[in-house]
Amino acid sequence: MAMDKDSSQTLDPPPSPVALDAADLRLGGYVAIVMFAAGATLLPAIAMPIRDLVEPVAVVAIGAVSLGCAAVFAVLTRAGRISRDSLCVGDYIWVAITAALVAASGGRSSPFFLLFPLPVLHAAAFQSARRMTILTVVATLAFLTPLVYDRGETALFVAMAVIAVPPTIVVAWSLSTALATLRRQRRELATFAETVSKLQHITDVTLGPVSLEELLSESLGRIVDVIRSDAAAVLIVTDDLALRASCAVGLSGVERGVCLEAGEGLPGRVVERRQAITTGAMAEDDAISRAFAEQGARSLLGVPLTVDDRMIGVLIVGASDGRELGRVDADLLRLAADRIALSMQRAQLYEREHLIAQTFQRSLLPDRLPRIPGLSVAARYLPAREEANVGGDWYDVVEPPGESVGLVMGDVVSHGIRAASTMGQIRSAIRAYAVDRESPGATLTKLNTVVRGLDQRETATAVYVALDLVERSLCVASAGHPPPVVVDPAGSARLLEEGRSVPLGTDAGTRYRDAVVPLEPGSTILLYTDGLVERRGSSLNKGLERLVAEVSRCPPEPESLCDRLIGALVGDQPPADDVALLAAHVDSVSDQRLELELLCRSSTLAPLRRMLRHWLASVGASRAELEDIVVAVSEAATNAIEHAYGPIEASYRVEGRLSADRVVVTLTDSGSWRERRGAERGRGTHLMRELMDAFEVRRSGTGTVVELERRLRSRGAA
Amino acid sequence: MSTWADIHTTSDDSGVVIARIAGEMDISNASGVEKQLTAAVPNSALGMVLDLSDLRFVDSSGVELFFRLAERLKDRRQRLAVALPEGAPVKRVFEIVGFSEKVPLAGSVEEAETLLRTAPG
Repeated sequence: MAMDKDSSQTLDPPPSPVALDAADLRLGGYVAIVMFAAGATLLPAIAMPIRDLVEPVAVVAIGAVSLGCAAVFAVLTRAGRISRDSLCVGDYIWVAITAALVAASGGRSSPFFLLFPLPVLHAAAFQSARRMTILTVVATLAFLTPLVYDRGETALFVAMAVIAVPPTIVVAWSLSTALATLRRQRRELATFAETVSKLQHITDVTLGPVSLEELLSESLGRIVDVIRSDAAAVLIVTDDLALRASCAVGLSGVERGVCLEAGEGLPGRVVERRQAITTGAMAEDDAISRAFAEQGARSLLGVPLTVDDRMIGVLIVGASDGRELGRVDADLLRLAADRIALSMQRAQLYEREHLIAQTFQRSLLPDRLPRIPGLSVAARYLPAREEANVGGDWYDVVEPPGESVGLVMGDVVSHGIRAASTMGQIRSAIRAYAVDRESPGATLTKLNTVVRGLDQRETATAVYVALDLVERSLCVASAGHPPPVVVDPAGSARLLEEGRSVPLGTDAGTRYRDAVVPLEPGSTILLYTDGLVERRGSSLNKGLERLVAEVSRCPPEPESLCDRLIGALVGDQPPADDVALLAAHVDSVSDQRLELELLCRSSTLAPLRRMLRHWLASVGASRAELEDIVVAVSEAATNAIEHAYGPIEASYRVEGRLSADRVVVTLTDSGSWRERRGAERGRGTHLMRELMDAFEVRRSGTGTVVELERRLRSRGAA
Repeated sequence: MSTWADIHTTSDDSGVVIARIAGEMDISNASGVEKQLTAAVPNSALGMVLDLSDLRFVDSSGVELFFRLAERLKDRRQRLAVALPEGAPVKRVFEIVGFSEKVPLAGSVEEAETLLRTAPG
């Protein structure tokens, strides 16, 4: 890794004196204790054979001083308060004690001068080279003092000095050098371990499946923390090789999206040279460097973010006065940058996949729900928190030919694109079976085979509720899905436990059975996915109880029901898991009006009849009355369709209202009324006259109005 | 979604074709149903029994189809009988248009078959 030479003045800090750590000092303390204690106890033993030379009082006094020093060092060492200086003082005391001992035991002929090398070696082990040298000189001078006050044998004494002093100095120097080297290596090892640990701290964050934004802000926060800088920023290389600020920590001036041109400023140079660069913040003039300077940064360091030799961005850190960013920082940052770059790429891929899965999944949910007379429907879809996987929840409202309306809710177990794909296949299959008017149970039974036949093993839960608004019943089958909630007109809620079986894809031979339950007008049915009721640390049963209690308190109108439930059970924050809700309310209001505008195409006849049936059932028409009115209105609508012509696609309007005990249906079109051609001429009109109590055709310049009226016995009796 | 009708035809050794029509019939699918029904009766057949007990809805264009079918079969010296039990949804329409004046109405498929075999050729 080459440092940029011309724009940076990278200086490693000068080698500091080799520091002693606490263990070294303790060891020094122990050695001092042993030296003094040994001196105190050995003195009388050594002095004994040469008693005639020794002043007993002096030996006792010196032994006591030595013992006292040993005690002082013992206390200091135990308390951990020993320092280099106190060790040095100890060495000088030892020199003084030795000199006194020599003087008290025969001067030039004393054997105690042999103790002089000890403090020198001690200083070599624990003091700096300078202190050791001074001590050596002092000890040597002390060694030679008997020459001044003693008139003994000079030649022997000098010979002894020549033999003793030089080896002591040589050994002391060797010891000092060896220990210094050892200590330096130990410190380097510690620094290396610290770097690894810092690197690990920075790159820890790059492991989990986090979003790009989280990854960058967390990484930058740790980088600032670890390399003791003040601010950091990441710029991403855009498609046109410009640099866009993507994330910054400790910088107020850099908004996301600040762009630099290719090659501009410090970040641009880092990209061009693909090298780490250190520089002074004041020397740069790009927006990013200025932002760093405004925050007080003086020293800047930029490193490239690369993946497979491809530049994906630049990482910049800045430090304020008193902290020069250098080679050590650059090395550390380069290592961190390599890991972060890889994680950035992964996060970008993950976010892209997340977006695709999300878009795909949303596209499989109905854009809008069908309008069905006699039924109010509302749905909600709350995606889980951003970092969560895209779920496979879905809902649908299907309208099979005939008069039932199907409410479907399901949840695919897997996540991501695969779940969305499975969900799409299941949804299409349900719609296809609905066209064939398969019952919920039969649909789920066939669907089970479909799910088991998928390329990848999948399981899914689903519930299918078919509402028959004319027969006033619902038919339900559930494949392991949480039970729907049914609210009766009085507002009492219960779980629809009927028709439950195992999830789709679990067992090949499962036959899903229909359960038919009466459906009173004024009832509400709620379908949902488990995200609504599952709470960490709480059982599913508790969640269901809570849901039922909550639903009982809510208004039956689907839109407000959904809103209230989300407010009560999910809250404002995105849920931990996707939540889907589908609520349908069977209207009970009997004086409601039917208003439809339909295109003049024969394909609108079937939907017209279905909506008419729902409406007539909701206003209380009997089965026979309902069928009669449907035939008559369908005849009138057929006339309107057959007579429509013109350059633009014509439409006709159908209005139904209840007037006392009478149903009045009015069809308005813009064509001119005439009897149908062909052999059936007159038969349609005949049917309308026979089936209705009143039948009137009003023609005008703008179109034709057909009014059909029929009295309802059921309402008349009521 | 246009009108849905499902036609299921069976024929036995004695040459009676039984056609069960379920669903609804109006102008959007009447001609399609007519083609299928016509094609279901070979020249060799004795006649056809229409089982309309599952027919949910029929309007004048659907009724017209049945009138035409009766005419055509008559021209081919084949017979038509209609099974329309009490309570069938379309029974009232057939009554109003006077279909029974042209084609015998029976309460069940078996009854209709008997009618078909015993009626004077």
